[in-house]
Amino acid sequence: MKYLILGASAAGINAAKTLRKLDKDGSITIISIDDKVYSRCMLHLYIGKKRSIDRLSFVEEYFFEKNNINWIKGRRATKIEPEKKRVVLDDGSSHEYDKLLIATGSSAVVPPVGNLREGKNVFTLRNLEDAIAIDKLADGSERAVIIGGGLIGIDVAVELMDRGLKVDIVEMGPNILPMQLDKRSANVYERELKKRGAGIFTNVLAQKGVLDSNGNIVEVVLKDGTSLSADMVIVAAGVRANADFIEGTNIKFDRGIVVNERCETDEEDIYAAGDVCANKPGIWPLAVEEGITAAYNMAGLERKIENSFGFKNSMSFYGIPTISIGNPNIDDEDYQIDIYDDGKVYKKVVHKDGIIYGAIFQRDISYAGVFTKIIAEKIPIDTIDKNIFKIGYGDFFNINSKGEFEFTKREYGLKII
Amino acid sequence: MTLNWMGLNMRKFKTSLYLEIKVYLKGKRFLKGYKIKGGFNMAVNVKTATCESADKILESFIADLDFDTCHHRIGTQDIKCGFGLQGVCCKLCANGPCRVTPDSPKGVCGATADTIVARNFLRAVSAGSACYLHIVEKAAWNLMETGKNKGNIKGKDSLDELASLFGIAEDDEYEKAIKIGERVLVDLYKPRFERMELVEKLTYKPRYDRWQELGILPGGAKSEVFDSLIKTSTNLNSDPVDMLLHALRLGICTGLYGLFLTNRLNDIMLGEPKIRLASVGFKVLDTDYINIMTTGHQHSLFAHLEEALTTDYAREKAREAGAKGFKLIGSTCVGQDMQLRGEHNQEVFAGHTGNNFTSEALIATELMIKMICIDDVAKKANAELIEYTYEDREKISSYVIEEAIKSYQNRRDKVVINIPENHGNDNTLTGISEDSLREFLGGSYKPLIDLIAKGYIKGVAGIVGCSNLVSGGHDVFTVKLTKELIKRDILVLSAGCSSGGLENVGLMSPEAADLAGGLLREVCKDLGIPPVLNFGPCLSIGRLEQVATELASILNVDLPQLPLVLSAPQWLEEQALADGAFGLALGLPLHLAKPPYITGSKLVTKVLTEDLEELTGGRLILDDDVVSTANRLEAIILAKRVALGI
Amino acid sequence: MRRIMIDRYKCEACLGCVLGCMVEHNKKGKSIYDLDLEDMANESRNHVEVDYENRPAPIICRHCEDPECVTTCMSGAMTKNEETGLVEYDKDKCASCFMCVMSCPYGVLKADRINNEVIMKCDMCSNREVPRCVEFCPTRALYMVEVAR
Ligand SMILES: Cc1cc2nc3c(=O)[nH]c(=O)nc-3n(C[C@H](O)[C@H](O)[C@H](O)COP(=O)(O)OP(=O)(O)OC[C@H]3O[C@@H](n4cnc5c(N)ncnc54)[C@H](O)[C@@H]3O)c2cc1C
Ligand code: SF4
Ligand code: SF4
Repeated sequence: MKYLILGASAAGINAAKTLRKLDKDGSITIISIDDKVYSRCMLHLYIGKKRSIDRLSFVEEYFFEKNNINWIKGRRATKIEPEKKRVVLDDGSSHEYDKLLIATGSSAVVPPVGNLREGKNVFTLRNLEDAIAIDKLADGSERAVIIGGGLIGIDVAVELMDRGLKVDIVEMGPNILPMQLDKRSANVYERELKKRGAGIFTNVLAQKGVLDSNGNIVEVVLKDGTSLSADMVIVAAGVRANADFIEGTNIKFDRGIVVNERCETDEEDIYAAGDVCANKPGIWPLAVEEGITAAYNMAGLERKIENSFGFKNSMSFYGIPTISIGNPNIDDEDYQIDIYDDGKVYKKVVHKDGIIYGAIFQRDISYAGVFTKIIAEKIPIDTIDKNIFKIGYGDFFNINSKGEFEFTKREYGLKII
Repeated sequence: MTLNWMGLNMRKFKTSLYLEIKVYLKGKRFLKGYKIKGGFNMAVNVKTATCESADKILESFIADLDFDTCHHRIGTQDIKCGFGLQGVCCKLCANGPCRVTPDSPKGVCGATADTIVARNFLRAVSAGSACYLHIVEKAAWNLMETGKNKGNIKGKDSLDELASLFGIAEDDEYEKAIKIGERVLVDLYKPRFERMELVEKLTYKPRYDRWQELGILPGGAKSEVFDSLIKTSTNLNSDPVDMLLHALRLGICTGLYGLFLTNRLNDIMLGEPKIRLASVGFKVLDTDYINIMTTGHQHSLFAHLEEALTTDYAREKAREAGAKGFKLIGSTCVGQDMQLRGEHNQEVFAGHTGNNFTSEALIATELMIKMICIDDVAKKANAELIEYTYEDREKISSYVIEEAIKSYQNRRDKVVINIPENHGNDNTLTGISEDSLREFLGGSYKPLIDLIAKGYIKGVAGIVGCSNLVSGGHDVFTVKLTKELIKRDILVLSAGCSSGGLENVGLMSPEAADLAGGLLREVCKDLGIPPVLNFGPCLSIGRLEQVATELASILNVDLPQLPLVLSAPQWLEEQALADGAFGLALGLPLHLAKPPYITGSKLVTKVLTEDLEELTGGRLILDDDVVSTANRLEAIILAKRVALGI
Repeated sequence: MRRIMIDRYKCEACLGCVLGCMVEHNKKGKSIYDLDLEDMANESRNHVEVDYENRPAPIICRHCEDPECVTTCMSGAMTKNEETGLVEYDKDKCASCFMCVMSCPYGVLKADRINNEVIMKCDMCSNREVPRCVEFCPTRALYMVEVAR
């Protein structure tokens, strides 16, 4: 069997590893633009000089050798030819497959806002090259403007400030991290950022960048007229799936490759996994889970995505951890909101008719994983007669003969025998 | 195989037929008493059902029993609660039990680890103290009754000695007895705000002065116990240092009254100890006799029985039943007391079998032994209670004789008599007291001082306390530590159940001199004594204190300056903690192998193991390793020798 | 592989397992007497919960066959050892993103309480035959089983 994988990141690497576990003899080839394996989630740590390039890796040493995987690095796939069962690369070479996995992730986009695309000192953060470029320019810079106060934006903001830059953050939502946090929990981080000199501009869009003669943006002007001077601009405002090469195939695309629960595309023997797929948030755990699921099916073993719940995020800035699950910002009278707040630890659970829809845990995130499960699978909690913040796996405790924990679905929250 | 549990070598297990097997696959962890023959490739944990004993004959005897003893049950209780071990569990109120963890550093009420530990510790000490005060109280009443009824006074010297110490100007010996008893009771029953009057008379002057400076001279002893219960109750005293000082006060009550005076009152009624050789161990049992085993701490309650059993009437009754007569069998403290006063009960007392963990094997419930309790503080669930009173003493003795005969007739053909052969020995040196030892030394302690000064005896160690089953096994630590000390020319004086263990393994027989270091061996051989001197029961810790006081007064120093250390390596009960508090009040270094549930409080631990030295001169030494303990005790002795210039 | 089996009905919430875990992972020594119960640096990797009927349940890592914590880990710190079956944690690789805490469906994980940096993850006392929590359990609510993978 000849397996071909496009992409050497969360989805691609985990697919390859799983394939090797399931099929000891098949040939496995990975093709990627990346010439190093690294965790994108840690790129900001490189900018902050907290990790060297080597320490960005998420695989063991000699991963490819140990698993007997052929890795073609620094190459871009430009075309898939399903009828010939092969993939063409940017150097013109082509590679045949029996089973193909597309795990090419996504790219950051720069919105077509006045001059942002033109500015030479405008960056996004998606690839190692971006991090290296930001690191370089940061050395001679004093001020940075971050457009987009989401997770990546704040990641970068924190690290640049750590390096002594004055940073301004522009976010169109009512607070930073609007997808994950509510005002109360976002404020905690805003306060920490401001304490360290950050400017935070919420409820406002960036309107244009003022270019200097060298083609660098020196000023970012906001919709409300505020003008922020800048030595560099980071845009963290959305991504787009990397799937140009599927043109001409039957693979369905809708802001991402459309797959079924076995990670199959509409083309036979072609699978897709990770951020390149449609209709879900691009997070690491889902990319891994899909990579593994795809691998099973590619190896001929049935496996379905069990957990496609993507609305979960964890973060930790300035030593303050937060976990956000589902939608903690539902604004609807039918929902009940329970809050624990002692001035430091903050917890919030949004629920209705015994189903939890969203939750935030800040500063004390211990054992919060149970809520992820409860929220993702809509496990009812109305029969659990206790303080909602004390709900834990103990309330669903069931251990099977193999010593594995289970949530007994039929009896969720009812008597557990 | 050594099970290293909680980092302590708690017990050693050996392979034998009785195995507990842990089968991983089954989910069932232990199959008890399962027999297997080798060839296992499963994960198996092999251990005997019983624990190790210093006394090997006893160990195999117990391992072969087909009923349960403590030696069996310790294996089913080998997992200890860590909060309990550290003393940081509080269940004084309904909000509890509260336990101190890094997640919950205070109880619901706000009690810290220091407060919780101090309360638990003081409660334990006061319970122990209460036990001893009960004993002296009963002895005092008995002495008064003896006087009023012109009963038997065997210890005339002791009577005169105490009378003159107390300043009692009476000529009639019965009147003296009554007054002595009264004076003791008056003190015991005083309120807490009134100092007890005998304390000063009973205490070496420099010590008394120190206690006065520290404000730890006790009020009425029973009130001290009473108030300690108040202090340690919910939301009352939360000051660890105040509670520890209270524990010292209880220590003084315990030592002077519960220990020292109990001995002296009993000496009056039952006779003074005389040095002699005696038989010990299970070998003292003669199956031709009807054997009655006594236990407890109250020798005076058995005074009448000792005599009644040797009357012609009793002998005749026994013969009718088919036995040669009656024998009293010693066990635990009262056995040690009878042994100590063996000179006065030669006919009826067969000898001392051993301490509680030794003699249990002989009197287990399964053996159909009739049990009679004569003091309700020790009422056993399966025993009959005949509350002892002086005026009913004859009736009680007759009843005991009758019941013993009935039991003898009832059980002898139903139970298999199973007594290990060769257990114990016939040449244990006993009868040592502060007075008999002085007499032995020629009327003064000076010769002992000279031996110490010349270095033949490096120093003196009091090995006291009980036996427990956790510090290596039954008597294991005690015996090993004793051997280690005598090897270093340190003379060992033992009082308490520890003596039971030491005598059964032969360390109190003159031949044990061979185990001592060269210099001490020479002394022992010269004098024909063993290197471990048997003072008898824990009550005799009061006698050790007298010896110490005599040594100190000859040298004209205070007790903490003596090259004298204490160890209660295998302390068992709350009573031992009260004794320990006395030792600390006396200013002596006191070693324990198992911490007394205090380590959860840094403050309490620091006060007891360090700061106390500045106050009383004493301190606690916690060490669960024999050699390191011996090293530390020896170092203290050497340092004190240097300080004394010897 | 070996698993710590839990019979929750035998659990008396004595926290023996919690103590055992702290004792084993205490840098200052492996005896209960070395454990400073007031030192915040001592943390257990297991915990005991009480459910809505006040029944206790010991929660101890399962070293899952399909461990969510591993799937979720973006740094390679959390890995499944295919040989021993253990889910192992390497604190030097960890980036403290806490996705594993968020993802363990059984609420086993937490961050260390002092620095919020290291994940408190059961290591089955790596080289001990019987994990300390099992050893400390007085009711035998915890015991070892060998299970097929
Ligand atoms: C700064 C930052 C922080 C993040 N933090 C978190 C976080 O805390 N938690 C979280 O869950 N997620 C986080 N994410 C998101 C997470 O990194 C992605 O969800 C994850 O990397 C998706 O993995 P993937 O394998 O699907 O794609 P990607 O990681 O995007 O990898 C795509 C791979 O495909 C290759 N490739 C692309 N196009 C081609 C082509 N045409 N031909 C050949 N190869 C190609 C690339 O070289 C790369 O190897 C973060 C992302 C960033 C950038
Ligand atoms: S931490 Fe949770 S998910 Fe990870 S192995 Fe343990 S029980 Fe499974
Ligand atoms: S916190 Fe550490 S171990 Fe947990 S998922 Fe993140 S990187 Fe992995």
